[in-house]
Parts: sequence; structure tokens; C-alpha cells
Amino acid sequence: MQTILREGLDRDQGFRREVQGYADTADGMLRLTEALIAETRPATVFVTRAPSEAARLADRIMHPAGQPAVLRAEASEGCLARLVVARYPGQGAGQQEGEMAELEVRDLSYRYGAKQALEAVSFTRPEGSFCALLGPNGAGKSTLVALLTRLLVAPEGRIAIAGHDLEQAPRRALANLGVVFQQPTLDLNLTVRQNMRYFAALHGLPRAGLDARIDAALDRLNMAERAAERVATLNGGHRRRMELARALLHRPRVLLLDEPTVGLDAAARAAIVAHVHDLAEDGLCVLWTTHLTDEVRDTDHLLVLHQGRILADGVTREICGPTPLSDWFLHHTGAHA
Amino acid sequence: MTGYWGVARAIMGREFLRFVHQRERFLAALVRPLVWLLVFAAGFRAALGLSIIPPYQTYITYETYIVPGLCAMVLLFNGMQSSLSLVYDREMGSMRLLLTSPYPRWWLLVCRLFGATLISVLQVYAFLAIAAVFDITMPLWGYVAVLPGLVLGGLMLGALGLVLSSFITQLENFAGVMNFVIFPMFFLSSALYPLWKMAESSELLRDICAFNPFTHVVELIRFLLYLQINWSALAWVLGTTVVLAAVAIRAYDPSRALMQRKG
Repeated sequence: MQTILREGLDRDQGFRREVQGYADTADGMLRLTEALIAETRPATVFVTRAPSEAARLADRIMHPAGQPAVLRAEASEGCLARLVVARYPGQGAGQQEGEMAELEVRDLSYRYGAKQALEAVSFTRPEGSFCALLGPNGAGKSTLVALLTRLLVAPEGRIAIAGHDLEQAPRRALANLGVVFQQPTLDLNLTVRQNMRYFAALHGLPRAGLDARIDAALDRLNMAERAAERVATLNGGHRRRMELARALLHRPRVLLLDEPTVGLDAAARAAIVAHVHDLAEDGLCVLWTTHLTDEVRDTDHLLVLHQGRILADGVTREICGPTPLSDWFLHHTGAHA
Repeated sequence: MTGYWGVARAIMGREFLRFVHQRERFLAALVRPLVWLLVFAAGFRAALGLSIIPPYQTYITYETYIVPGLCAMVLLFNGMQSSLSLVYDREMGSMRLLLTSPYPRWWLLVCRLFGATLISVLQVYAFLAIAAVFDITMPLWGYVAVLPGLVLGGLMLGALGLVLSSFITQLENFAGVMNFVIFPMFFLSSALYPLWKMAESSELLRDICAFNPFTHVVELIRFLLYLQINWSALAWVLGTTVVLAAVAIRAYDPSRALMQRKG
């Protein structure tokens, strides 16, 4: 009745386990939580839905050791309850942010022979966030993308996607990662649907209901009527939209886009930037690499990569202050953006 | 397990669809052996006398002798082309996509090898059909019996291509591979002349040819076309395929230690 969605260390080095189970009622959910607490003996429990409900539930569930538990509850489709259990070394119940790091990169280094491409890169990104990874050419963006997609494997450092370590549990990590590559990855001679089916099979999606799923994915990007067309007949903007629809087909929790607007005209660029921001608002953890400052909004999270190191990590507005991002970027990296 | 099979079917299905849509590629791959068969072999027919050697039971024309070698040549060219395209040209993008699949990398590569082999085998059959039109025929059941030999040979040569693409970064284009791999392999084999003919000019040459795994692909195909099994050729090809595939998978995968653990 319970399935473990993921478990592992979160960004505060707390052990987290996320469990999904069926519960028709709040009481059912409570019992589920109690069983879970008995099983895992956590110091802190988060069950999320709404803060008010959390407070009420918090009163009713006590940790076996007598410590109060912090709770929030989240009900997704139907009567599914999703619970997050966290245990911190030394009990840091004060962790204000209940959300877990969907994407975690820690102390990642990589070198090509003598050239240090990445040096001790660390960052974490929570769900429901749009993060722009900005860097001039040669800053190490491509290396980072290759490491995140497991084309390269770093001798040092750790990458975790949706809580799964890319090295120890590559299958579960990759199952939670959607990627839009910079280079075209579509078979031009095949139709949109054939391309989507191929991808679905690569990810082991069930064939039953697949066509409906493909239609829904295309429809979200207003591409539904293109399903039967050969990719070769689509323009660049449509191809990118198709690649985006495809990257979301297996419902990943982390979406990685590697300079996705290269070669697109202004309208297509704006459309795809807007759409991906919407996806982030809907809960996806988005990492968008670019060297174009005008694709970054003031409210976006910004990571600046320069010469293989993280130069800045924060909300764009706070990093730049009143200076326009392009000026700030030019000043700090010496590169035109 | 269904997921594994689904991946295999999808990768092979994709190769097949791409093949169907690329008629130029198909024709180009057919023209090469046909030129050899209809021009080169016709010219050499008078110059080369062939005695009766297994698996042949009568005197045969040179055209008949050269057919298995040309079948293997189709496999060789295709294997190299498809494996190297993964590394160098537009296929790079689709390979990156392939590798984001959560299935183990060795499985993805094996499926890709089988997919490429499937296409090679189809081309060999097209070649055999055209040869038959020119009255160069084999025993009817030989066309069926040769199938496993073609698949095995295709896998071996595809794996060889993968190994080359992983190790030799200097082979920047197909021309380099042609000069340093395809031509030596093809000419230093029993594809054009039987080994005893080679021995007439030099024992060393014969030994090199006998060591060349491509010779054994050719002989495996030759015997199977006449409904016989050349066990030593089979053992050579099987062994080489296993070794090359293992090396290809290890060399291709930067996280090989991990894959060993994961199986």
C-alpha cells in the first residue's frame, strides 16, 4: 500500500524518504503516517497539503520518542497521499524549507587532460523552480550537461536527481530527468509520433495508453495536430517544442535544457522561454543553460558559471541589484552576452 | 523484462524505419558489391583458375567464388558506417538521447548493434537477389541457412566499428577508416582469393589472411550458403564477436566499473 518514491540525503544532509500511499480520508492518511513513523522513527516528519491542516495534524502525531513532529500534507490526484519523512543529524527541525532538493550537485570536478573544465561545482535546486545557468562559451556548461546526462562520469563529486544518486542508482535518477539537448536529436524522416514512441520505449513506458499520453504531451505545446507529420517538414520552433514535449513524456521531476533557443527566431524563443517558466511554476525543477542574458528573468534563480566555477548563485535581482544582468555579466566574466 | 524487449524493439524499429526512408543509402550500399561482382569478377574470370575446394563440389566461376566475400563486404561497410556515425556525425545527438534512457548502457549498445546488423543483413539479401538475377545462384536453402552467419558476422563487424570509434580518435572521417581498416581487412582475407592461392605467393601473407577475423566471416558465410558449417570459422567469429563486443561496451562506457556492478 506504500511505495517509496525516493530516498537519500537532501541538501541539508538530512536523510529523506518520500512515500506515496492510498488514503481515502484524513484519518487514513494519519494512520499511514503513524505506520511510517513507527517504521522509520524519524525526528521530523513533513506531510504537506496546506499549512492550516499541517498545524492540526502536527498536534495529533507525536514522534515515538515524545518529540513533536512537524507535519505538512499534500494530496495529489484522487486519494493519493504523499508523505515526506526527514531525519536530520542533530535534529535541525528548524529547516524552514520543507521542499527537497530535486537536483543536487556537490563538489563536482572534471578535467580534460590538463584542462580543468569544472572545479568543485556545488548547487542544489528545489522543485518548482526555474534556474538559469548562465556562462560564457567555454565556461563549462557543456561539461556540466554531459555529466548531468551521464555521458561523462566525474571522478569526483556527486549528482543526485530527485534524490537518486546518478552513480549509485543511475536508472532511477535518469527516469526522473528530462533533457532537451542543444544538438538536434530528432529523426527527421520519421513522424512526430514515431519519434515520441521511440523515446517512450527507451524509457520503458507502457504501451497501453501511450498514444493518449503522446497526444496529451503534444497538446500541451499546441502540437497535437502535427503528430502525423514528418519532423523534416516542421520548422525549427516546432521541432524544439516537439523535443520539449518529448522530454516531458515520462513525467520527469527535473528538466534540463541545454541552450534550447539556439537557432530559433525571436517569437519562437519567447514562446519556449515562457512555456518552460510555466512548467517550473507547475512544480518542475528546471535547469536552463544559456549564454543569453535576455532569457533570464529578474525573479529567476541564477547560477553563473565562469571558468569552471560557480561565480554567483542566487535570485537574479539580488545578484545584480540595479545593474542590468547583461552589464553585470560582462563586468564579471569579461564576456559579451 | 518487457521494458528491455521494448527498448530492443524500438531501437531496431527505428533503424528499420530510417533505412526504409533512406533509399540513397540503400542504393549506394548495393552498388559497391555489384560493381565488384559484375565488373571486377568478370574481368578476373579468365585470369583466375579455381580448383575444387570445400564447400564447392564442382568447378565454379570466379563470380560464384566472390559472392560470400562481397556479402561480408556489405556487412563490413555497414558495420563501420553505422558505428562510426555514432561518434562523428549527426547521429551524435540521437546517441546522446539514447544514453539518457534509464536502461543499462550495455543493453542500449547491444540493441544498437543488432539494429545496425538487421539493416546490413537486409542489404546482403538484396545483393544476393540481384546476383541471382545475373544467374549467380546458391542452393535454395543456403539462402536461409546463411542468415545466422550474416547476423553473427554483422555483429562482429559492428562491434569492431564501435571499438575503433572508442579508441582511435584520430580517425576523423570515413576515408581514414577505409584506408586503414576496411581495405586491409578486405584484401587480406579469403574474400577475393582462396588462402591456398595466397600461399603461392607468400606463406606470411597466407598466415596473415588466416589470422584476419574477416576471413572467417567470409568462410562462415561461404559454407553456410552451401548448407555446411565451417566449425573453425564459426568459433573464430563467435570468439571475436564476444571479445570485440565486450571491449566496445567497456570502452564506450566511461562508468564501466559501475556497469559491472549493476550488470
